[in-house]
Amino acid sequence: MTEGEDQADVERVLAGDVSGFEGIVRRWQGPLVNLAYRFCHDRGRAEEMAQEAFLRIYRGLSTWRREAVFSSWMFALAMNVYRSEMRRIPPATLGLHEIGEPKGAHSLEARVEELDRNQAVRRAVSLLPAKYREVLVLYYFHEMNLSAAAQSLGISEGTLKSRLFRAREILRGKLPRVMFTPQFKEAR
Amino acid sequence: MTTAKDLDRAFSEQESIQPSSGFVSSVMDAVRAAQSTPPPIAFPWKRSLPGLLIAGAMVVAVFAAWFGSLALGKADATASVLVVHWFNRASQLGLTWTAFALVITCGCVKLSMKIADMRF
Repeated sequence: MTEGEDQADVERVLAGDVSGFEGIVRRWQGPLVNLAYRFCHDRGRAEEMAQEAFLRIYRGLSTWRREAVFSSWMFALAMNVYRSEMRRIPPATLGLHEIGEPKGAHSLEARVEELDRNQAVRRAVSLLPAKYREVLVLYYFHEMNLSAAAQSLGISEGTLKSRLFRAREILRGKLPRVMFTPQFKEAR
Repeated sequence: MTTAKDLDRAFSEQESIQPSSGFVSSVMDAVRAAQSTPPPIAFPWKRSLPGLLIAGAMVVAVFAAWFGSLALGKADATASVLVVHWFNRASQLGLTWTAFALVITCGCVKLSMKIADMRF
């Protein structure tokens, strides 16, 4: 995905050629749909959210300042859409008390335990307050790139780091049973 | 940090999904539909700016006069007389109605934007 291709397509669209936007959609459909999916965990809804994000991006192309990286600007705009969409209809989640410990620790293989634990961790993340959830989702979505995640959220790296720290602290308090059970320590 | 490791593991194994085959055409249809509809009428901030500035200046002037009179040790009655005086002057010029209309307009715009956001 090159910045040059994005810029060329943006110029085409701004010159009146709507079909130029198709290139942007093709290049970025995967990341935008997957980012939405990480918030809502529903494939159909993720595509709807991504479509709305693309529409906002299309309408806002003239406001993109060339000194900003196109993808950062695009993710920031998409995050605004996802944020308001998640506020409007929160995803169906279980309460923290409903997050079970891994089943049958003694009889199942370590891999199954790990999958259970990963699922429990992700559920717990989905129950965090929005500003901590967003930071965690974006941080891992951008493959732990602090700078990219901060730009997508429109916050400084320092703020991102402190929110990441706080999010982990909350999770540590909420998930001690899942995180610190002996079988998990052995599995590490 | 144990939590960080758990999070790293949990998120690195998170499944990725592929957009459906018709996603691009669906988005482009929506984009073309959006292009054919006229853009919403923007609030006339430039036109309303002089009225807002005058209203703001009046409020500041009234408060300045009030605090000024308090600072000089005059009675509260003087301040209230000043407020009434300024209010009467503003009424004569029709500024209170202008300010009132602007506030109502801003409220209507905000409300309609909120409703539109909720529906779409």
